[in-house]
Order: sequence, then structure tokens, then C-alpha cells
Amino acid sequence: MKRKIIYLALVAASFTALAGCKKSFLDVAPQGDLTEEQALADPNAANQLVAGVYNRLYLQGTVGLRYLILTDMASDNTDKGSTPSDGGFQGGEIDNFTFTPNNENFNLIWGDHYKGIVAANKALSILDQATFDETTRKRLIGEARFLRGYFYFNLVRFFGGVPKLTRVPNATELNNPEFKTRATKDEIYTVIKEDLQYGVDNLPLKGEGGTQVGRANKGAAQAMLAKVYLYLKDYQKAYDLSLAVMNSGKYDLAGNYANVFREVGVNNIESIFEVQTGPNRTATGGCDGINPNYSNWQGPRAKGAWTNTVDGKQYDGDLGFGLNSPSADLAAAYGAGDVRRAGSIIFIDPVNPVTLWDGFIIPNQSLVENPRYNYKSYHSPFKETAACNGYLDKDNKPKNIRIMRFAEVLLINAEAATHTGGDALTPLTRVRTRAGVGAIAATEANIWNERRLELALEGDRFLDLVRQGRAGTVLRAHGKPFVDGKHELFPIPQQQRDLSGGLLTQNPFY
Amino acid sequence: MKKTEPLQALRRQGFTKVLLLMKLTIVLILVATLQVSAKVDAQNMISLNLKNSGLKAALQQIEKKSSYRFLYNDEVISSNQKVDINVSNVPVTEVLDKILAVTELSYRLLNNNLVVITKKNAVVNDTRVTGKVTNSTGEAIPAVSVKIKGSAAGTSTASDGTYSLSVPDGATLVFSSVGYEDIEVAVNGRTSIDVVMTSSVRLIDQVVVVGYGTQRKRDLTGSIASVKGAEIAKQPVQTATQAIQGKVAGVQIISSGEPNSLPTVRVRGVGTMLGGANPLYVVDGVFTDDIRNINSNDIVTLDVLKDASSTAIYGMRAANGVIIITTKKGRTGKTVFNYDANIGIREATNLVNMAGERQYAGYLNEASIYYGSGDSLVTSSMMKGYNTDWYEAILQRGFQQNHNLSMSGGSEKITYFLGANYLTDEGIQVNNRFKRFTVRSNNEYRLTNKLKLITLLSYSNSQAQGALFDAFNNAYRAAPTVLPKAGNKYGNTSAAGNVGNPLLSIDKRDNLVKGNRLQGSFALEFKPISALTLRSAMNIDLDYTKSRTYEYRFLSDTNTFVAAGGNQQRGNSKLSLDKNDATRWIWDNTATYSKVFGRHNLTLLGGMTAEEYNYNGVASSALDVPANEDQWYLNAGSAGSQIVSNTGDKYTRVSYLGRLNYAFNNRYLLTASIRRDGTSKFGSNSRWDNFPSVGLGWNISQESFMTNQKIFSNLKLRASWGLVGNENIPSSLFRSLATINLPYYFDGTRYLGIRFENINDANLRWEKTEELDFGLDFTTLGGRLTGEIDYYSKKSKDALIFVQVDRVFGDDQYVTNAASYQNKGVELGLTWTDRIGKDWTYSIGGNISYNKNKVINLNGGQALFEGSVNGNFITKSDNGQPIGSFYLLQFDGIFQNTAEIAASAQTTARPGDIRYRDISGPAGTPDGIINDFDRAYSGSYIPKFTYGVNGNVGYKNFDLSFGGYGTSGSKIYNGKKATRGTDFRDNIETDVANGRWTPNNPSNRIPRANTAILPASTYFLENGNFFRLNNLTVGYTFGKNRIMSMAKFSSLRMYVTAQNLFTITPYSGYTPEITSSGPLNAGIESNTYPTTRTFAFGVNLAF
Repeated sequence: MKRKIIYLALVAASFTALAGCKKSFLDVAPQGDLTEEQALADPNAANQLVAGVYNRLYLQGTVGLRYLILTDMASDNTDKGSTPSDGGFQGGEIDNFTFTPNNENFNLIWGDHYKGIVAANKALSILDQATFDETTRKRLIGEARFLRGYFYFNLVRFFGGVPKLTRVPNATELNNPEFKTRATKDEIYTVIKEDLQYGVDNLPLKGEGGTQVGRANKGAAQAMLAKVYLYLKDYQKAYDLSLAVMNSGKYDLAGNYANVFREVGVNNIESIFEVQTGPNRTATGGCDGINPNYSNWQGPRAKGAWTNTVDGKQYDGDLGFGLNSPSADLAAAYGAGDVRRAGSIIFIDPVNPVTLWDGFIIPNQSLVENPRYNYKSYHSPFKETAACNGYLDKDNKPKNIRIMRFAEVLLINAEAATHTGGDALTPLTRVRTRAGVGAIAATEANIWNERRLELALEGDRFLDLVRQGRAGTVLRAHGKPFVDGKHELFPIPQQQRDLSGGLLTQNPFY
Repeated sequence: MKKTEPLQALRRQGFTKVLLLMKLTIVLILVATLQVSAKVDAQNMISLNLKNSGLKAALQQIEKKSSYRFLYNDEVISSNQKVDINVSNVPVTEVLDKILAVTELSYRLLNNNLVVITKKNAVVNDTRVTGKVTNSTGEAIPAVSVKIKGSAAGTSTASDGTYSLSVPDGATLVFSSVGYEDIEVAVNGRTSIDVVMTSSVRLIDQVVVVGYGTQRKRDLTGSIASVKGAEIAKQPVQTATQAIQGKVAGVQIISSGEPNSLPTVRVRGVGTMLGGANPLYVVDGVFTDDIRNINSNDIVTLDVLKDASSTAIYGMRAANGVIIITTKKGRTGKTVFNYDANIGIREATNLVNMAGERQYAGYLNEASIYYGSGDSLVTSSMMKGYNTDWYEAILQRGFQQNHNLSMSGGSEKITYFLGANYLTDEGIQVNNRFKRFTVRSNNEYRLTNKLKLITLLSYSNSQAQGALFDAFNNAYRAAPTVLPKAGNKYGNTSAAGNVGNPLLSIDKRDNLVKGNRLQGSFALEFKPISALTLRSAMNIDLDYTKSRTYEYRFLSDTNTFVAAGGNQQRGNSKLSLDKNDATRWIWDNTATYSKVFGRHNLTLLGGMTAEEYNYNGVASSALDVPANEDQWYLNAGSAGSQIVSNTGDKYTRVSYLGRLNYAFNNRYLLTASIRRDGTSKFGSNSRWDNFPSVGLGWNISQESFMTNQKIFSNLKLRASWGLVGNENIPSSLFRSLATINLPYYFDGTRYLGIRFENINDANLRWEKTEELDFGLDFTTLGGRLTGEIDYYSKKSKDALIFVQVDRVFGDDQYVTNAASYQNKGVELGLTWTDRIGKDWTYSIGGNISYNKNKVINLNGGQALFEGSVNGNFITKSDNGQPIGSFYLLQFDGIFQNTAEIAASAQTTARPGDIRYRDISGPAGTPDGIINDFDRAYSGSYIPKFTYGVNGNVGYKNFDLSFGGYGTSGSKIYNGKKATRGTDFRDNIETDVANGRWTPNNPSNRIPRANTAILPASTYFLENGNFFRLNNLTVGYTFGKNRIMSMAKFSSLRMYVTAQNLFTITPYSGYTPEITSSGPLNAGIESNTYPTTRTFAFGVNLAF
């Protein structure tokens, strides 16, 4: 009996010993992953978090094709393109104004922009607690706020007032009505103005204060804020800000318009803010990093066999899906001698093959699906940096996308000047001269038309038409059933209204 | 064991009387000779106070109070011998001396507290008895327990069926073995006793493995099915679970024809969406998800724990059922060698007939001319008379071989089993092959009488050239007008608006996966007293795999193709190297106390376990590595193209467990268990939980009122309840972790950013499954019919599910515990065994199970859409429906004329198009538009019924066995057929081309010729019922003859076997067995390995 007791005691003792250490044994740190606590302790993490916000510019819905569907395809600048049976990611509905709140593009653009906003909020919340040097901290805050302001600017232009999130909600707030209810348009514009103004006040000028190419700087914040004020019809502020950019001495127009959109024109003198890309391979070997498909979806589409050999590199096949095809109306809008026509549009010939700038030969119309393609999205398989999986890879081309160019700053300045009484003609003429066309009167109508031609296929036209209050007139003339009072805004995505339990109200007439 | 009937029988025959009251101890399967000291210990000090008692009664009293058992002849002890005794705390021997002093009797102590009582001066000798045990077909039966009746003394037979044992005069030997009828033979002075055992219908006497212990099947209160290793090893399949298909009621096994594939196993339905639906495998104590390293020939038993009261001892790992695999151990006796081998041929079956060239041209041109652009898609110049059969191009007949050599034996101190296996298996796709080498060493060392060391180790080395799965789909779509290959150039399918050449895809890729796995257990077993076993085991599993994939560069030019063009090309070669190291250790500590107190039979188990899992994976790649295999190194790639990624995982678990087994009078059974589990996979608030269970059993046939009936030789009712868990989720799901390596470019240089972007539920906890089980076991019709019926009701609560959130939170969904599912079902298993005359034996068994699965509460969660085909989700899991239900437009026949179209919701359709039912619209009523509102639930892949039939027939030296398996009530989405048309010149099935709608063939079943993808609808949904003859084996066992003796063979059997001989199914695709990534994607045929059939010849040799 005694021995039994001893044995049982031994067993019990060993169990107790293990039980004693159970807490530490079950507290296992995640392997190879960074927790929030660790990020807070790491001064480099704030910097990385801001880079993570920039990475949101790689989403289809922030600057990629989806964005172009709502900005160019909805306008008179482009048609859906591709084959008749291809719905073009429901872009056909946008093109024809037959869309409903269920159109996938609204949900995607809504979601992708909020992904950017949430990333910015998270980075800002950690930056607020960070303790490293004040200049760097303010610069990083300025960059994150620039991006947040840009994302909200897109949202408010597409949807009007949207839910306002400028902080990180905790996990128990997922049902907080505050985040399911729309703020007013003015409240959102206030956020945008404050964010961009912070950038204007705190970001260094291009090339100064340790800035790097690709980061938002003072000029970017000024230019973007000038554009915001143009939308708010605060012409004096738009004028002053655009003038500040013009007088900064950091920017000028590049010589060759067509080259602005090619690799040779990446981050050139004209560039104020553009999405930066590179060889596209992620650290895990994938290629999903960079604006996948931006070039591919808009690339010329074959109807028959194509063959190309340039510089000994063979490329048999077409360039993409052929979506977002420039309209005949846009092609006809350019005046004689305007270099922007050929710099913006690939024209397919009925009889002869067409040779692109890099030697790529597209056969005649019988072997090609559409008559026109977006040249600005073209990325050469031969003469420019190869995509992630080599030059035959269409999906992952390292194509920088221009968000703000000096040419637009000049046009903002010119348009504002027509209201403030400043000099509108000089900036307008600068733009036209580079395009190879002569001066014209600096009227608001002419400047609006200049914006169309200069910024064609860069995601501006539809929003611009709405801003100008003439979207209905122009688009109905173009054959689109635009309804005044309704189509100035896109509908709030139905999925998000459903998830909000009805708190998220719909725009009028949807 | 069997108390009343045999005793009476023996008394009647005037044979030795034996008193029985067996101790219930932990019975290890295949234990060798039990050697227990006979010295008197404290336990056998007794007190006895009797006046004028009968001698027999006195002996019975002693048996009650001690561990001694008496062996005597009825005639020796007369009823008028009276005993008077009053002693206190004296050794039994002293008591016996006193009692027997006044009689003519004397006694003798044997091993194991067995006492033989004989007349004084009678000669009681130990006799050495030898013999051999065979089955009805003359095959030696190893590991048969041979015991002296009434004692624990005994031995077991060696691999050749022989045994040798010293027995006292007058003893009776009891031969017992799992799966055979017990046989009792009185020695009667013989020195050689050969025994022929017949297959048992007394399954109730089997010992089954119950998790941290074993139990007699008759004492079970839960639902456990046990399959013998021999049943598994005889099938020419690689993975053990594939071989039990159809043998266990309530267990659905979906196997793929691919070599080295792990079958999908579903025990009693599907009770999870995201938590992992596979059962837990426990191999000699090691927890694992993958048993492909286990050689079937090394398995003794495979036990499937189905109900929650059985599985609850595994707590949080148990919600999907538990499969316990026990491997072979050595036995005391001379070394025995076994060689088992088979060689065979494997081929594809159930392929789909595709159109030949003319039919293809006719179909496509009709589609284009009448319904499309008007052009001929296949012109006469494209038709060169090749009539390519793409299956022929990419398929092969695979050769397979499997060799097993084992030796086992042992002495009093050490027993050993050493086995080696070499297996090669060629798949049916060219270049697809697999080989595996395994060694196993299972040893047991008796360090002292009370201390044992058990080491079980297995090592496996495997090498696989994987199949390219999309080649099966592409062979289905590839045009018959193109030659696969001419000389060293490939036919160019993709140049002509068709899928890429599948043969080229296979040839231009080289994939090699090498695996090394060491799995084992080191256990110390200490028995301080006979009733108590203390066991401590360290179980390990080290799994190392390396994979190397080389993708060759090729362009769509005339160097590669007969004609240039098309999109099938790869501009840069790529070498990928992956290395994955996974290690796991589990430390089990248990104490088992087992004792019989009179009619009370008690076993108590207590223990704790700790577990740690570590994983480290490196994935790397480089571009432009030269095609020469000697240069397949990352450094040979182009500068800067090298990528390395390294990820890891770690989790730990701690558990405490306890179990009580109690039986009263062998009639009333109680099992109660509890396990308390802690895991690192949840936050500190929710990481601990308890998993209790209780089971009750009633052996009705043991009741006195049943003694006079002859209908049931066994009848038992069972009822059980239990709660089990599932934590098969990623380790850090509850934590907010940074997404890392997000690239962006500053100054033209890649910069890697991070983001905290996922919404995480910090209070994530276990999925819990509560299960009720009622069962009835019976044996009737003179022992010929045995059966089991079970009803179960399982409810999974707190199941993990994606819940959608507003996208303003930066994410669209997060995982939380917010769903419940239900599985209810009935299982019935029956076995009939009999013999006809002297030469014929047979048995036939069948089982059928019914299961009803449904989602009952998506608490706050939205329905889950999954199962992507052509970019659209086709399954929806929502309340009231089975998990993974197909949610599709409803095929409603074919439009025959314009009048029908005008009256329909598809006004732009043309005669010959599919009509879909207009079910609903935004307003909840039919709206004259066919869109997502018209989709409806259309069934799921979860079958309603699964069933199996198994039979054995023996005639003299011939044996024949068969096993079949089937399911009913499942649906399959023919995704392969539904993606046809992705490219406009894709080929078409012969049946579709022949049966297509034309004005002259007004089919209401198959639409007109089409070149495009058709919408996802029930047109592609097919009945997934099938019945398959899994295995048919005919064998011949050679009797004793001169050749056998000269070759020193102790037994030799040869057989031929066929695996998957035929499948009866209405399903038109490659196979009705579709393995899938998870329950939400189940039953979609896409890139599926076709069914294969194997013919093999084999030999079993012992020497």
C-alpha cells in the first residue's frame, strides 16, 4: 500500500511540474511574423508601414483599369473595347450607363480605396506614438496623409459623401454606426483639405530634405490640393497653389509628349506624382505586386495570328485584352499636327500593319479586334524592362502610372486664372506648344478641351465633365443615356449597403 | 471470459473444472508470453473464517480474496469434505496447507498463481505441448494466444503458426486470436496438438484500440470499427485508408488514382467549413495528418473511432473522428521471415470519349456557321486525318511493384520486428511515378519483471515525379486535328484557338519531390503492482521534404512547334527549390489502474500529454537556369532573379486526460472520460477547454433471463454522449500580424513595406462537436450472423466561418466562431459466416450508412460562396442546406422553337439553347430575366448513403475475396465539361456531339452546337452515385509437400488481385471520386486524376 502511494505521488508530482510551466509552454510567438507590439518597438516599422500604404496604389481599384472604367470608359474618351461578348469586367454597363448598384466595379473601387485609407490610418496611429526624429516623423505623416487625402478625393468624386474613418477602430467597433453612416460631402472634403494641407506644410520639396523619387513631396501635395480646390471652385486657392508649384523651379514640361508615358519618361521633369513600379517580383517569388494587368487589359487584342521578332526576341501573340479602347470621338478631337493624338492612341490600319515605337508590328485590322488602343498603357516587351516572368509575361509589366503631371498643374493654373483674373494664356500656351499646336484663346471652354486632350486616358475625363457641370450635355450628345441629377455620382455599392444594415444611404435615383 | 456456458459444458463432460474470474489488465496487442512472478505478495495474504463449509465453497472464497485460481477435477473433490478454518492475514499457501491437511488432497503451485489440486501421490507433470495453428485454408495463423484455461499463463504462435508450451496434466488450452473463434482443447496427455481455427463471428471478443489503451469489443460503449492489417495489406494500394474503403460503416473515403495520394476521409459526415475536415491519425501514439509513410504490411490493426465518447479522449483533435494505426511487434520464439510481394499493371479507366476529327469539325462549324460568325472554324485544310486521341498521348500503363521482407522473433528479454518495404508505382500519366522505401524496427525490451522499454521506429524515403493535373483537362479540350508530337516538334493546339498542348506541358516540366520521414515512439512501461501500469512515451515525427521543379524555356516558334503561333510559351526557364522541415514531438504520460473486485471490473486512466510542432519552409527560385540538369542550381540563374522566401510555424498543446471504465457483472458497462486541452492557437482567454464524454452499455445476453434463449448469443445496447473539439486552424489566426514584403519603389529601388490589414478575432476558440450515439450489437442464428446498428446525432457549434464586414474596415471578411452544423445518421453493419461441408467456408458482410448534413445556424454570418468554375462561385453554404451545396441556374430543357422563346425569360435565345427556370428576381418573384436571382440549391457532394460489401470464400486451398464500395445521393459538378469553350476551338464529347440539338434531332437534354462557355447551371450537375468493385482476389495456398519442406518454406500462398475492377456510375466524367481542397469545394471535377484499375500478381511466403 505504501509503495502505491509513493508511485501515485510521483505521478502526481510530475504532472504538477508540467502544469506549473504550462503558461509559458502555450505562449508561442508567431514565427516569422511581425506583431503590432513588435512594430511599435521598431523605429523602422513606421517607415515600412508608410511603404505599405503606397503599395495600395497597386490595386486595380485605386489606379488600375477599374479606375479607368469609371473615369474614361464612362466618358466620351473610350469605349469598352475587346470583343462584343466580353463584358469587360462589367465595364460595358458603365460605358452604356446601364449599371446598377450591383456593378462589381463600385464595390471593388470602394473597397480598394478604403484598403488604402485603413492602411494610412494604421500607419498614422503608429507614427503618432513613434519617438524618432521629428523631421522624418512629420515627413512620413505627411506622405500617409497625402495618400489618404488622395483616396478620399477619389471616393468623394465617385460617390459623394462616404463614411469617414480617420482613425483605427478597435475590433469591437465593427458594428459602430459611425462607420456605417455616410459623412457629408463637405466633411469628406474637409478631411481631404486638412490631409493635403498637412503635406503642403510639412513635406519637403522635390529633391530636398532626403526625399526619394516616388515619395509624395510638397509639390505633389500642392498640385493635388490645387486640383481639389478646382473641384470646390475655390479658384484663388487653386491658382495660388498651382503657381507655387510652377514657381518652385522643380518642374517643367518634358520635350516629347509620347515619351512621357514610356519608360524613358519615368519620373521625368514633368512628373509630380506617379505610381512607382519595378521588376515586380515579390519576396515570395510571386509576381502579384504591381498593378497586374493594367497594360495587359488595355493591350491590343488579336483576332488572328501575330508574329514579332525585335532585337532577336521573338514574341508571337497579341498584347492584351483590348479593353478601354479610345473612342472615335476622342481621335477626332485633336487638331491637325497635335502630337498627342499619335502619342495617346494606337491606330490600327485597315490595310497595312502598324509598327509601334519599339518595332512591335501589329497586323492590319483583319487580324486585330479593335480599331484603337491606349498607347499610354503600352509597355514594350522588347525595349523596356521585362515583366516579372520575362518579356512574354503580359500581366506584370513594370509600368509606372502617372497620377499628377506638371502639364495638369499648368492647366489648373490657367483655368483658375480665368476666374481670378490672372494670366491664363501663358500656361495654356505652354501646354499647347509642347503638343505642337499653336496658341488659342484662354477661355474656360478651351482649357476644358485642352484638359481632355492632354490628360486623355489618364483617368480624368468623366470626373472633369461632372465638375464642369456639362457631363449630361456632352455625354448625351455622345449617345449615352446620362440622367442629370443622378449620374453625376455613381451608386453606393449594394453589397456595402446590405452589410451596413441599411445605414448606408443610396445616392438619389438609384 | 466466457463464464457460464463453457463451464456447464465442461462439467457435463466431467472434465477439469475451471473457475474463472479474469483480471482485466491492459492488453497489448500481440503481447508475447506473459511472465508474472508467482511469489506470494501482499495481495495474497488473506483472512478466512469458515465453519463447516464445503471444500469447493472454501476454495471459491479464497479465489475471491486472492489472485489464486484453482484447477481440479470434479471427481477429486467430493461434496462431503468440510472445512473449518479461522486465520487472519496469512499467506494463501498456509491456508491451503491447513485446509487440505485433513483431506486426501495435495496441491501444487504453478506459474501465475494457478493452483493444481490433485489426490495425494498423484503424479502431476508438466508436459511440453507443441503444435501448429492454421486457418481453414491451411494458412498458418501467427500471434494466436495460447493459454492454459483458467490462468494467464500461455504463449502465442510464431509467424509460422507454431507454438510450444509447458502445461500441467489435465489442463485445457484456449486458443484465441482476433477474428477467429476461440477453441478449447483438453490436452489429455498429448504432446502435439494442431488446431484449425475458423473465422470468428465473435467479433465481440476482439480487442480494439481505444486511445491510450485497449478494450475488449464486448466492453465498448462507443462506436469503434477495427480493421485487421491483413485486410489492408492484401490490396495493391499504397495508403491504408484507401484499403478500408467500404469496410467501415459511416466512413466515406474518397480516393484518387494518383500514386501517393492521400485519400479524403470523412467520418460521419462533414462538421466544419474552415477548420479542416480530416480525421486525426494516431500512429503508435504519434498524431499526424498524413499516413502515406506507413507501409500497409506493417499494420496490425486500424481502428476508426467514430462517436464522441470514443474520440473524446483525444479532446480538441477529435471532432472529425480518429483513426488509430497500430503496427506489428515481435513475438517470443524463433526468428520468422516473411516475404510478401506483388507486381502489377495500372491503367486508366472511365475516360471520356471525345469527338474525332470529322465530328469535331462538324460540331464546331455548325456552331459557328449557324450560331456564330458564319466562318468555318475547322476548314478542310486543317483536317489532316490525324484523329488524335489525346488521352493516348499523355497516358501510359503504369507498372507497380511492392516488396516486403520482415523478420520477427524474440527471447524472454527482447522481442523484435524488423520490416523493409520497397514500392514503386507508376501513374497513368507519362512521367508520373513514385517510389518509396520504408524500414520499421519495433522492439520491446523487458528490462526487469516490472519495467519494459518499447521502441517503435519507422523511416521512409520517397521520391515522386508528380502528375500535371491540368493536362487531364487539357487532353479533354485539345483538338483532334493536331498531332501531339511529330519527331521532336509538338503540334500547336493553342495557335488555332485551342487549349495548350498537354503533352508539351508535361514534357516541359520536371518535378521531383523527395521525402524523408522518421516517425516513432520510445515508451517506458512500469508495473509496480500488477494492477497499475505507468507509461511514459516520447513520440516523434520528423518530416523533411524537398522539391525541385524545373520549367523549361520554350517559345511558340518552329523550334518547339510544327507550326509557330499561339500563346503556349515560356520565355524564361525557371528553377524552383522548396525545402520543408516539419518536426513534432508528443510526450504522453499515463497511469492505468485496472482491477477486478468480485463482479466489479474497473479500469482507471489518468494522464497528461504535451506536444510541440515546428515547421520551417524555404522556397526559392531562379530564372534562366540552363536546361542541362547538371546546372539546376539557383546560382546558374540570371543575376538578380534569385528569390528566397522562408516561413515558419510553431504551436504547442498541453492536455490532461482521465477515463473510467467500469463493468458490473459483465452486464452493465460505463465509460466516462474527460480531457482538458490547452493550445497555443488561441489567445490566453480562450485557450483552455474541457471535453467530457460518457458511455453506457448493457450486455443483455449476459442477463439471467437470457440464459435459456438460443436466438442471441450476444446482444448489447450502447448509448453515449460526448463533446469534442476542432482546432485545425492556422496558428496565429487570432492575432493581428503584419503582412510583410509589400513592394514599392523609391529611387527606383525595391522597398519592402508592411501592413496590419486583417481583422482578427482575439477571442477565437474551438469548434465543438456534441454527439449522441445509440447502438445495438448482436450475434444470432447460431453465431452465423453478427450485426451492429448505430444512430448518431452530431451537432457542431461555434464553428469557424468567414463573416463579411463593411469594406470601410479595409478588409472584406474575418474569421470567427459563428456557425453550427448538424450531421445525423444511421449505420448498419452485418456479417454472415458459415461453412458448407468440410471444404467450403464463406463469409459475407455488408454495411450501409445514411447521413444527413445541414447548416443549422450561420449565426450572424453570411452564406459562404465557394467552388470557383470559370471564375464564378457555384456552391453556397447556408442555413438548412448541406455544406458546399451547389447553387446554380436550373436547367429546364432546350428551346425547341421561337414560340417557346418568346414566352420565356430568354428572349434573345435561339432554338437549341438551354432554357433556365425563371425562379425569382429582385422583388422575390420571377422577373423575366435570368440572372443570379434564379439560382437554386441543387444538392451537394456529401452522399446520403455510403455502403460496402465484402466477402470471403474458401475451398480447400483456394481462397477468394472481394470488396465493393458505393455511395448514393451525391451530386458532382462536371467542371471539366463546364470549362470547355474557354478557347473557341476546344474539342467536344462524342455523346454531346451526337446528342446535340438540331432541328432534326429535337433533343430536350443537350443544347445545340456551341463554341462558348455555357453559364453555370444544373446542366453540368450530374448524379454522383456509384458502385465499385474495389478488390477481387483469388489465392492458392500450397499444402505441405516435399518441395516446401526442402525449401524450408513454412507457408506459401500465391494470388492474383484486381483493384477497381469496375465502376458502375451514371456520372460521365473521369471518376465519381473527387478529392477537393475543402468541404466548400467538394465534388467539382476539374483537373481530376482519372480512376485507375490495377491487376497484380502476388506471393506471401513465410520461412
